[in-house]
Amino acid sequence: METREILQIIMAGLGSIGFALIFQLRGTKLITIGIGGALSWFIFLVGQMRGNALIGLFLAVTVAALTAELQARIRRTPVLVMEVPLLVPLIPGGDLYRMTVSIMKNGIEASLGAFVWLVQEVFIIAAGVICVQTAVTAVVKVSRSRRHTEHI
Amino acid sequence: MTRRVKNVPTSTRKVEEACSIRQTERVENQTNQQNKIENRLIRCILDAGEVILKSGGEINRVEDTMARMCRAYGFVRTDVFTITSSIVITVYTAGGEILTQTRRIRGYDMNLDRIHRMNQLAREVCEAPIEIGELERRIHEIQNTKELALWKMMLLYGANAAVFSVFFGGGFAEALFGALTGMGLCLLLHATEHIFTNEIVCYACCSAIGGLFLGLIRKYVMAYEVDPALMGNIMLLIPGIPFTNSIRDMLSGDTMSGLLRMCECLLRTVAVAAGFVGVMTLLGVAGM
Repeated sequence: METREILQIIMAGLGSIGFALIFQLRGTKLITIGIGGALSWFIFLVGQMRGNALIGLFLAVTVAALTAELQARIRRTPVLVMEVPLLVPLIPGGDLYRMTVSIMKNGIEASLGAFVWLVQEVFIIAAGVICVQTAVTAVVKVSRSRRHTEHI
Repeated sequence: MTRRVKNVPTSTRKVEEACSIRQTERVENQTNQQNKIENRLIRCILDAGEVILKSGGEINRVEDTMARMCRAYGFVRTDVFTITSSIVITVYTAGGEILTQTRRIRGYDMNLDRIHRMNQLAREVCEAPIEIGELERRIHEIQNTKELALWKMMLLYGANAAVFSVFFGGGFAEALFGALTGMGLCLLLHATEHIFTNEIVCYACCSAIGGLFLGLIRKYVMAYEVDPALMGNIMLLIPGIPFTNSIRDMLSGDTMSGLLRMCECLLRTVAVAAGFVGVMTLLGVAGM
């Protein structure tokens, strides 16, 4: 890992904190959000280096969403509150820009590849979030019903 | 309601009639009073839902919170229907009345702190319902939470733009110009909020002005990499998170709201990207 990547990881953490501040969050949540944001970008970079950015992205989203679910339960706050800033570094803003530039320069047909890539990224982010959400809800429900039957 | 009584002098009968009329009135008054309180309660619960929806909460959460609060206050049955721009709530009271209220929702403002506090209040209410005056006061307090001062917001926008400029591979100059543009954009968005009735046009114009600023510096002041500075600012303006949320809404069954939100997000994204990149391409400095 080079300085460039390390700098990027740090910036991912700071970016998460910055957005959390814009969305008016305060307190110790910010530390968790910073660490989580940096961690998920680290995972994405590892995936990218291994040659599969999309799987890396999926894993990064999964880790971010899991962190959010866990922290939300510990801090008794809606999952969304933790999840939104954590996912910020993973938003494909850069690829959106590259795609638009490519459309303006080379026309739409030549930019289809970039467009498809962007759509893939967006759907993988959504899929990661939904997978984690569904899994966590299922686990919570099963454990609750088990506890309930034990009481009976 | 009057009873017919035989062999009683007219005056007594009149008194009796008056009494029974008064009793009916009292009962009616009581029902009215009860209805008023229940209506006030529903208004409070609608306010709570509105706060969550406006602050960027999921449709699911809005409906769930409102239904739970209604149950806590002893309504027999609650039907809530929420889409991005409207909330409808119908409750069946214990007294057999059916009450409905509707709320039109305009304007969103992502505010996670409000969602957090509203959620806490709803939890408290569900554990032990609080008195209606107190509930009104608490909700009002959350609605009127102090927003960040403009200069603080500007600093945050600037800092974030700088951070993401570096994130996308920029150096010191890129971070500096990115931050300046970010601060300018914050000010511009704040100032034009009331001028443009159309949010999409507002974003497109502000992005174009931001792009123009960066492009002019590149062309006439000093050479630097425009792309990272631009990407840093694009990150500030595109609604990446609402987009993810809209997909989540759709998959959890609220297809209509999800589609509406997704359309809004897509339009805004296109507006921002076109605003920035259009100007840069015209100036001939994009993708260098």
